[in-house]
Amino acid sequence: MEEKRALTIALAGNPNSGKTSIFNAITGAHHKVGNYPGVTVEKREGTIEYHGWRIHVVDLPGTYSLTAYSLDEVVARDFVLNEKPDIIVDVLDSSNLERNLYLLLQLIELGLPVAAALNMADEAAAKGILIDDKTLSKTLGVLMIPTVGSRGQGVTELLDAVIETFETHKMPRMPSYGEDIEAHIAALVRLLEQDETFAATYSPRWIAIKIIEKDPDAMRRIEQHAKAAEIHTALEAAWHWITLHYGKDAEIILSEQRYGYIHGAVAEAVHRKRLRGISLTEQLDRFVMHPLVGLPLFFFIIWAIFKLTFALGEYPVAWLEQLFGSLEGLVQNSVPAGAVRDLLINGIIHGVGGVLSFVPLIVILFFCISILEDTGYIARAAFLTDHFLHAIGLHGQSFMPLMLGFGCSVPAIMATRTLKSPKERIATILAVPFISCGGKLPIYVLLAGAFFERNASTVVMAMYASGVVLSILSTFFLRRTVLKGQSMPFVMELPPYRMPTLKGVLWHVWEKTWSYARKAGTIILAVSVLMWLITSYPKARGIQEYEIHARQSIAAEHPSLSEAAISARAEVLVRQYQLEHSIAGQFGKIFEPVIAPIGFDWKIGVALIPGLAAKELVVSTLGVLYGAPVDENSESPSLRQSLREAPDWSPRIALALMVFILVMPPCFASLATIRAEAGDKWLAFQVVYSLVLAWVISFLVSISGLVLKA
Amino acid sequence: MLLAELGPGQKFRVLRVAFGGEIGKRLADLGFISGAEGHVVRAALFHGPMQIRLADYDLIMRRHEAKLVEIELLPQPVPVSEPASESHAVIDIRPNIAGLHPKGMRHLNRGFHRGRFGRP
Repeated sequence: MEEKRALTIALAGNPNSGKTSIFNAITGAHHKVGNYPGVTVEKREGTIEYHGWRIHVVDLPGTYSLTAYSLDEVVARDFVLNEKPDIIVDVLDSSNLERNLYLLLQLIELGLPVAAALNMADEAAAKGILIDDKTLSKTLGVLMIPTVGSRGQGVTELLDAVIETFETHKMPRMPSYGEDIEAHIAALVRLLEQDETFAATYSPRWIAIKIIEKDPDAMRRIEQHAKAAEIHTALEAAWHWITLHYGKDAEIILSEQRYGYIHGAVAEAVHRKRLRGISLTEQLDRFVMHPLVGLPLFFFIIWAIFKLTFALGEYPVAWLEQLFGSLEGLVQNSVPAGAVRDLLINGIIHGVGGVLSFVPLIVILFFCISILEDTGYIARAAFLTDHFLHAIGLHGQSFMPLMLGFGCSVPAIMATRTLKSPKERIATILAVPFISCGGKLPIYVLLAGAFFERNASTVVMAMYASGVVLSILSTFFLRRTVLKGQSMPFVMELPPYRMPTLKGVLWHVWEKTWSYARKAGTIILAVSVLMWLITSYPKARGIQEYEIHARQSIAAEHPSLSEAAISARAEVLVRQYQLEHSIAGQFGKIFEPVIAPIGFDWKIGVALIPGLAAKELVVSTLGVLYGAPVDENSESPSLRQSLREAPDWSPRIALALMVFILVMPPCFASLATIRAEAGDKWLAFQVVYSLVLAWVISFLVSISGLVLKA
Repeated sequence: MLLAELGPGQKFRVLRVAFGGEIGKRLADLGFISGAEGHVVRAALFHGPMQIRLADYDLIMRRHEAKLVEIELLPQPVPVSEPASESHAVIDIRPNIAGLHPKGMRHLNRGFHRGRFGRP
């Protein structure tokens, strides 16, 4: 048995060129998703065995060019320059060959062997475009294989071409920029080659072309060159000559020369048949992108996704709850009472249950989103909504995450991945938590029901509306301060409608769910255990005596009560006593001076702490603190009653608390997702920013309540 | 004239992208080069983004970015009710518009036909 020979392929290509389908067709199920080091750009890689070869495939981010202006492009070219794969495979959309060849020329310039897939060969044929792949291969010096990635056609031929290119050391033909510019390139190459270590690291021709294009990253790199000064002189001369000769900036001229070269190559190899009639895409777009029909249709689609996610998601969530409920019962019966059982039930089972309860939502949501993405609808939605969102400093693609925020912030924050521009993406992530999620509703219902009986529904609606307004105002403010800066140019391709493949969609769903479980899930679990710890430790001293005493006084006060009823009442008191003496209870007391100006006492402080873990927990904690039986049911009349009767509560305090909960940092699951999607810096910012904002706004609400009463 | 000034159905030919830098370079990379032809397919309400068909593909862009592209209006506008189909006649796509064409590119095409464009 001969030894397997190893080969690394970097898969490059334009967005919408079907690169992912080619990647999936090559690697099958054998791939994993991670990140490129230090950045949030996803990295897919997989290894397969093929005819005695062990082929490792790395999927580069989809790009149109290789400038240093976008993160994706920098990641793609740095991977090629630093990791030096054995061969680059470029996936081209045959129905749009010229713009796709533009990237190929730049890949060729990186100085590695290149092979290419003429993908979507079927679509090109349908458009009447006939490509003579043999002629094109000869002209560019790159083997070109027609493929249909979604059906896996041509993939074995592509792999054969890759191996042939590798074995024969076939090098592509370098594109030419015309005699005069080539002379300048040659002069720069001669200078660059004089520093041997530099020339060994970077292809001199590539660096020469990039510095003529004023590429900021390449300009930085030549600073390390031994002859940096001479290079600058030669470069100035090249820029001067090009601007004088062509009357345009050098970077534009190089783009034009590449397209000129492509036009020449394509003219010989591509033939077009005239087709009559209007394409299906155009017919659909007349409705989908219609100024008056398009927007209502868009709202309908978002509403449908929202409904589907949260209505359909209810069932699996309920099954999970049932499953974890019976698991809890099992532990209750088989593990002796004590700290271990407490940890298992209140820390671990509740924690894992909390993590898993988001999974059905994420699965359904990303199933819908990837269908929208794969069909090409996302770009159309951006077209329709961009104008309004741009005015507040967001992007056409911010709309969907914000809408989803009404359901749950976790999938909403994950949905911001469709946004390519970093600043607008961060701005959207920071705007989502102000939208009231499903978890905040029980608190509104409880407090509005207790203190604003007749206007309860109006108050709840007002809370939702305030969230939306606050989210708009906050974004407007942040985009002019912390996230200041030109928005990313909004120039995006509008791909034709394409039929999504089930396999592609399922892969996408799996990747998203797994990345949630891996990045956010572990943190959520850890925090649940922590929350359990600080609400149940240290064990209150004298708790047994307290319990006995409590039972006696209840029995004395209500002699008619049965034994069971006395136990129930005593348990409430014991829990209250325990919580008061736990770390969380101490925190509530320590922080009382901070929240006192708003009118909150330490009990509210204590209730807010588990609110960080999950907003629903505020209700059950209030239940413990105000001595109502804990059934986590916000409709429970007894909790409303006891809140209303509590001396330090009033409608003013209830309103201020609702506002505080609306604005305060979202639950830990959301914070963990923010950390996974935006990094530690923005997580810290979000926490501090929303805490300060929550304090200020609820203070103002409370003060104006006092003034109005006076 | 600037691309941003056009409305649905109007055909244009690119004269130049006003300047380089990040946005200019991106536009040039996407095919907004001297001599490229296209038309405006539709525009969103209230002077919103425009959909442009450029050679073989469609893209959407804000007016803000479209202001960078200097164009000349071409006659025979495509009627709004019937945007051009995605097909074309058998055409020579080399940008050989005599007067407009930069010298460098013409000699490049000559070079290509003589088969000496490559430097291995």
